[in-house]
Amino acid sequence: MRAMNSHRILVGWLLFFGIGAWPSSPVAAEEIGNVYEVRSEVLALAEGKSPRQLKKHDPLENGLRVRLTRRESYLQVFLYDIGLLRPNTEIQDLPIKKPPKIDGVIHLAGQGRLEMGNPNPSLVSGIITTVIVEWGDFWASLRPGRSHDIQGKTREGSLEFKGTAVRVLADPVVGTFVAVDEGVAIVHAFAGGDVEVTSGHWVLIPPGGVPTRPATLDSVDILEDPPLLLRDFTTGQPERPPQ
Amino acid sequence: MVSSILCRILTGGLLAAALTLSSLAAEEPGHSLAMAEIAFAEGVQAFEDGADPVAAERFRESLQNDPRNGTPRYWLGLTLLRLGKAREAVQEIQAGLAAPRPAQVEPRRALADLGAAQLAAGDARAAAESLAKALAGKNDDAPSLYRYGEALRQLGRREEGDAAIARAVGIDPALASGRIPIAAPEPWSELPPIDRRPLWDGRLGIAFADDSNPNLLPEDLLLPIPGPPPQKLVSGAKSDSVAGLDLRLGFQPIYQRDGWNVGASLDAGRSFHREIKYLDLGQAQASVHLAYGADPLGFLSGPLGSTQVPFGNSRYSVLLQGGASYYQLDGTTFLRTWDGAASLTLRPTSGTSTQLGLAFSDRAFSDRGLGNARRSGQDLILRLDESFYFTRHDRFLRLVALAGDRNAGRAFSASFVEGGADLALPLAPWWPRWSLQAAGSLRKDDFNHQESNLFNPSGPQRKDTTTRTTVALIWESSVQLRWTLRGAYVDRNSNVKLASSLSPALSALDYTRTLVSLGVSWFF
Repeated sequence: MRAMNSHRILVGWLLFFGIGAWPSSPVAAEEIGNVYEVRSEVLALAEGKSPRQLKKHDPLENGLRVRLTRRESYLQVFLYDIGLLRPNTEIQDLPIKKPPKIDGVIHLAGQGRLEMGNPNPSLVSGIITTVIVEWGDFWASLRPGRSHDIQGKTREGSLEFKGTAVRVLADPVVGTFVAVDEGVAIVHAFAGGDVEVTSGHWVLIPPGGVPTRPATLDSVDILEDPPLLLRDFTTGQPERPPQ
Repeated sequence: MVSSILCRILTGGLLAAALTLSSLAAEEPGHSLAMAEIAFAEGVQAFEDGADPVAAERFRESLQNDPRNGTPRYWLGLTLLRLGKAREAVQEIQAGLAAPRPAQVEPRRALADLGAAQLAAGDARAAAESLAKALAGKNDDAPSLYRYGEALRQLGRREEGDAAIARAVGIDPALASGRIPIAAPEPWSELPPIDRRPLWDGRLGIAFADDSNPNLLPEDLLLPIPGPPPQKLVSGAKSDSVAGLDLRLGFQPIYQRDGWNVGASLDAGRSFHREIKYLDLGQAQASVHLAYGADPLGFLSGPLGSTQVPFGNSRYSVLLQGGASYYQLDGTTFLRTWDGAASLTLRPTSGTSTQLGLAFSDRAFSDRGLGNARRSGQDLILRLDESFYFTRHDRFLRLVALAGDRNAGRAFSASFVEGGADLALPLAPWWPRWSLQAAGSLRKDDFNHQESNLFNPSGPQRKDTTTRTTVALIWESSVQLRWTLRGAYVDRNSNVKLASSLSPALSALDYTRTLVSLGVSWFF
């Protein structure tokens, strides 16, 4: 009985230290993606290190920040399936298959940022990479049921992707354009208003606005005089009004 | 008869829209663009790691998900070449280059790879041809030069072949071993258009209105209602309720970010009066649009409607339009037109734009029913807009000036000038889904001949002054559903008076009209 209690205490302490050590566990240095193509200036910003230009095949570790500095900058990234994160030492044993299974492919063109992974990964959400599009294009293909998720941010709103193929354009004059080819995107406009964009549909968030589809007003509601009607007395002679 | 044609147009349009929507919404079973790209990425990774059987499997998976894409097929060809399946490699590379979406590979590299596969397949003649093209003007591609030498030797041109091989080894001594690796091509791709919207779009609208003066008559003037005797009389005091149905279908077959965009549109509508049936108007208009340049709202508008263009803020954009329209009134053909228009929009800053437009319309009125062939002729209209944007492009003040000339029968030929202003005011951030629109204009028509004075041929030529004011409140209950409450007021004053024997005080062509409408439009 005593021995059993000691065992429980030991397990409890192990769990305590294991969970406590989780946020600073080696997953922070884990490769969660890889650069496939890079053009113009694309800088990797690792904590405590000076910025360096990314090159093809550079590994992208959990926690890495990437900045695309120019309008002609371009980055294509393969996101790896890293499986479910587990606390404690099991993370160190997490195998990455060679060649690793890919969970998604993202392209970012123009000025923007990429936040690879999340500083506080959880069992529930897995790894989340955030793509911030300042002025440019972004499109992504994501595997359904993936462990490596992405979310988007622009000047006008934030984006969640339940879908598998999405396109985003961000421009200071235009706003944010979101089109979904497969799956679903949930668009949260900072000015208010959430909208679910399903496969085959698109929305625009104009600067400071809510998700919409711009439209001309040349619709049925426009009031115009019909082309003739009786305005020119073509139908008969006028008569004196009744007294 | 004509009414049934319009009904068919409306019904056909609705059916086409429904079928198009359903076909667009339905993804092809087993096909997924996302999985195609992911499988392709895994294939490329396996290819670069030398795991060729895995690479071939992944490229095939990519093709299954997106059969029209030539790029994975091309890479499959390269993989098969590595795996020693040269004949299949030739087929796949050729198919990849000829696919509906051809393989994204540098053209010279494509020829070099095709030549390598042909050589491996034993077709030295084809290989020599492909490799010669790949090397044209660029002789420093050592592997291709080596293979070209091999092909020449197999064709019996030993001396030329030896010379080519010697040159290749001179460039890259590693080739002396005779082993030429099949390397992965460098990424070579044009970025796909991000803001491509569906090929088809449409709008279906319905509105209900109360019209104070649908006949556009002076309040105290009576006219006989058209139709067989005995005719009832109608005056400008007669109001009516009206419902309007409106359908627009747009088709954008050619979309380019840097180039001309081609679109086509079909507009059809019909009004239904509760009492004054002879004013039921049906209309259909078909237009083609040729547009150049991007716009912050993603469409360009002209006299013949709007068409999609890429989102952006081009310094200038051009819109050329052509079309035809058909109107019927009271179930009878009323008017047919052929129309053309050209618009140039300049955006010197992100906060302003100037649009200059020219529109031409050839109008042929029917002589039946309410028509009058004397109105037939040509309209030419010049329009100048200056828009001022506030923070966003759907919040603006637009000043408009128009001048036009109408060439028609002597009673109807006229020239006009018009000035106006439009205000668009989204009410965000206070009411994010609401916006207010207002418009006002003043127009002066000067008729050219004395016959324009319909009641006094010896009187002065007709001159009209018309003011219009419209205010609309719009609510977007969802991205696809838009409600509009609109009020409008029109006031026309004319110098044409009834003959003094009838009533010296009675204005013959003056009218006022107030219209209040509530409508909803569904965008699909």
